[in-house]
Amino acid sequence: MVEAGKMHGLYIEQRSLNGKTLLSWDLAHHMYARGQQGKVAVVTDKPVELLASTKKQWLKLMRQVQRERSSTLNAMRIGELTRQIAWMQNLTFSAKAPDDILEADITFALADDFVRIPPVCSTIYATYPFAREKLHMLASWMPKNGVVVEYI
Amino acid sequence: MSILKLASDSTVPAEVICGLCSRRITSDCATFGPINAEGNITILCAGHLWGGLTFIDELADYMAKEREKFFRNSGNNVMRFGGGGQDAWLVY
Repeated sequence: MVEAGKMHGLYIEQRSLNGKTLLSWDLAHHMYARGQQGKVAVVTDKPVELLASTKKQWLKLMRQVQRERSSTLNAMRIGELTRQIAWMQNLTFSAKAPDDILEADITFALADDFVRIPPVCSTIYATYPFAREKLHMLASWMPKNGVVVEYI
Repeated sequence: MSILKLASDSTVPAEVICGLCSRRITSDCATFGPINAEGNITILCAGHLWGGLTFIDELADYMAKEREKFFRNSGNNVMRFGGGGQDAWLVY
């Protein structure tokens, strides 16, 4: 179930997994649907594990996109899928706690790590429960139209 | 960022229109997608994410259309698509 809300130029989305869907699958597909919007911060209590599983799902998705690209004759679609594949291939992932601006395109870290240095990013995924005040603090540098996705 | 706005003050629309299939859906069946040619966020049916190859095609077609629209509306500067502003001015 998803609920959408808006506040202070940010969009809030609350997502719940239905028990059959893996968090990593959902993250990869949601990031793909969002497209190239800037850096992403994934707040997780298991950064290394979630990075590994999400990257695996991302690569699976990329292969599907490659398959679609090679099976279509639609020129505009080919152009767009080519662009997407280039983006997906070059995306960088990191589970290193940020000590300044985010180096990787997608950074996985604990809430406390992001609170120390609030990330400048367009999308935040909060994958485990933590204090509301912390969510406000780590989203404080997000630009207008940024999206905060909370998994409930 | 105000704590109040994060909680019950948020305006949740009763119905939204999916950017891919144009169906009216309730906001609890929606998800946020890419930025469109006007710089606004696109809302999609949450179910599209499970659409597999069909979703990939639909999203690609949508993005291609939005890119073309942006290209025509912004003085043929496709590099600005995605919300980025002008980084430099050339003054002669």
